[in-house]
Amino acid sequence: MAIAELNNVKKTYPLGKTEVHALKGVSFAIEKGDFVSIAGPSGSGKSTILNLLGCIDTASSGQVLIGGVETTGLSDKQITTLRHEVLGFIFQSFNLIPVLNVFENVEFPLLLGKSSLSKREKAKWIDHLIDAVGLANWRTHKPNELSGGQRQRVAIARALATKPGIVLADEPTANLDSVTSQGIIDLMKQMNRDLETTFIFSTHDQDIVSIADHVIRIQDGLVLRDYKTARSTPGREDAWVSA
Amino acid sequence: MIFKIAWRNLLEYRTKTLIIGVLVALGVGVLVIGNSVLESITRGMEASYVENFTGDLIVRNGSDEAVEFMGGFGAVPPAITGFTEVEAYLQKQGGVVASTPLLTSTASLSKDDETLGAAILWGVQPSSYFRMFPGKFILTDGELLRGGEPGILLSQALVDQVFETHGVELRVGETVLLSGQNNTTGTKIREVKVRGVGYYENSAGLLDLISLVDANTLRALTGLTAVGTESTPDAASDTAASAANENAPLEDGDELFDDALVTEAESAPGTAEIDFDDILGDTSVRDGYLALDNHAWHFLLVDLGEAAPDAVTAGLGTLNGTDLVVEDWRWGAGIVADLAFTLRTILNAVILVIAIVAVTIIMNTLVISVTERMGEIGTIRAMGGQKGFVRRLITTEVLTLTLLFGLVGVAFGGLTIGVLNVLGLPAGNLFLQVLFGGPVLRPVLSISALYVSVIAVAVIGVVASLYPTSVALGVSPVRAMQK
Ligand SMILES: Nc1ncnc2c1ncn2[C@@H]1O[C@H](COP(=O)(O)OP(=O)(O)OP(=O)(O)O)[C@@H](O)[C@H]1O
Ligand SMILES: [Mg+2]
Repeated sequence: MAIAELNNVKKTYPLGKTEVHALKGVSFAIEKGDFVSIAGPSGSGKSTILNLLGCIDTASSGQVLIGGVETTGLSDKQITTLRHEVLGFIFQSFNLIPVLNVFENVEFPLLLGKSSLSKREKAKWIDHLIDAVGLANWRTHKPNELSGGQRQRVAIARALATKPGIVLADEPTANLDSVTSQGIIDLMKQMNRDLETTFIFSTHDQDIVSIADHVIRIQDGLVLRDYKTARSTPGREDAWVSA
Repeated sequence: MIFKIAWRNLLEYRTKTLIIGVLVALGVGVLVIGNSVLESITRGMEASYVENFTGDLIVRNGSDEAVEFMGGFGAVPPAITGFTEVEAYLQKQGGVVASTPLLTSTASLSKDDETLGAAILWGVQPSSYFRMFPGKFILTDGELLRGGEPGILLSQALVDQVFETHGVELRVGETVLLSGQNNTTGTKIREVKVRGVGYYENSAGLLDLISLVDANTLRALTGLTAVGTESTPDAASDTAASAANENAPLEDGDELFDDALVTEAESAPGTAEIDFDDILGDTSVRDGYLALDNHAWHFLLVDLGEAAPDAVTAGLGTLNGTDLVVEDWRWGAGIVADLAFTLRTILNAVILVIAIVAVTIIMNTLVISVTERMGEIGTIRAMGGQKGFVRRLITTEVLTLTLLFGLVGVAFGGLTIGVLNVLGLPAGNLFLQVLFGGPVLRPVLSISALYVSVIAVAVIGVVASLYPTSVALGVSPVRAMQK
């Protein structure tokens, strides 16, 4: 079963007296554990798709299913709970809470809902995540004392804190230089493997696209290509899922 | 965690925190200082009036006119109907510690044919009066009035005033003339001996000018005769009473004291002039006019100790034929007390305006800070923070801020009051002296002002955060992406 699915999704934005058709009928399915790249030129609708997958925006028509749950018609409270339990977010501009240090930022999502973990288990898990993103020596630093790459590592750890099924990242490397970007993508890939978390990220950087095992190419609000690479399905080079 | 975030945000946005904080602290400071001073004034006023002048309750007769206690310039109420029954009833009540009747009037004072000015007169029953207000009238010369003995205790301020403006010295042992006007017997002049000179402590203004006079002298001046007052007390109708003279034994205070020893100085014209020819041979009518009503009193002052006024006065209405009104010291103090209470109302109105301004400024500042933090709020919402979490975050921040600086304001106000208590607040002019009940006010911290200010601050905090909170709750999680 697909962990995330769009069925003929359309999205129009009002723009003055006219409308912008950002998505013109998009359909695809993402399997659990995939490392998915949504790729396309600027203005093609990548962010729009990620916002819909992240349940922070609603489609004009069509279906958005997250973990098999149809999201249209859910109340704000239900959809917020869904986001908390199923989704993790990595933002282009990191969006760390400036007054909290690294540890507190990673811990933060756990405080937004009920958690079955004890205080000690929580601390251990957060420390583990901080270690995993390589910031063990920066636990008590505030975001403004970190480099861009370090901040995005904190954001990755934070996105994983609630052990979500899906982590969404809209151009997570757009504010980083290419070397750092590569490091961040590698880290995400490693987490994807270690924790079996589905990662969906958007980018227009071709080098980064090539790391993905499932690529959805978008152009002008439509899916141009949707294919899985050899990485995810061994034995099939550049297998086309759909075209 | 919410508190941690709130606290750190307050530190992070120091300028805004200080703007709001100083405003809150100032408002609370003004509230605490102002209300403490005014409460000290009313407390002092209450203590001073209750202990020196009015007792806990003032019982008087109902009246169509607006009447006053001081006998200054307002109307005097009619004498209490059924005074003996009322007095007896009150003395039976458990809570009543003491009571004393009182008459008030003004009279023109003269000596050796020279008019010296107006005197405010209180006609008292010396035995009960000086028992209920012991040592309150402080003698500078002479001695207190005694029961059954006509005489006047002149106000020191009046004596000083007369000496200053007329160069006339009023001494103990001398005789002065009092002349009063009334509707029953017209103009009445009484000669009365100065028994003493003194003053009430902490009095100012009109209270400074009060002289105490024996009751019958005052009754004669105001025309409280047996006929004039429409009551028929036993003693007054007794013609034998007029035969009594100054040398008669007068153990029972002024109850036995009567009109006969008064100099025949009546010059009553007009309405009260009696046609002696018509009633010649029958002196009862004339005696009715001339004999004073020994039970005619304007007020009955009651000292309740710790008793609740209602318990004592509840039964008063059931007394037959009476039309009683029960007042308290505030009524007795009249315009002075009204002034203090008006000032308090004005102060609180000013504080209300400050509060509205404060709410507006706080609100705007918060809206700005919410707007600046829309990305952060959106991020929290995107990560699964419910609206309730955002609401708590903002409310915690605002309440922490306002309560913290509210406390600073309380401390500032408390400290100021403490300093003023030690140094004393001097009354620079007569107006303030009247208000302060003396030359210096030593204000005490008002506990109720503390409560009020803490509640006010909390309310300001909550009200001021309503709109910013609704703005914050309207922030869509998509805002997290728009940075
Ligand atoms: N809030 C909005 N109001 C109006 N139009 C919008 C809004 N958001 C996006 N659009 C329009 O929808 C289309 C798709 O935008 P989207 O942000 O999804 O593109 P993108 O692929 O993420 O581009 P980029 O690579 O520049 O981030 C664009 O034409 C954009 O102008
Ligand atoms: Mg985009």
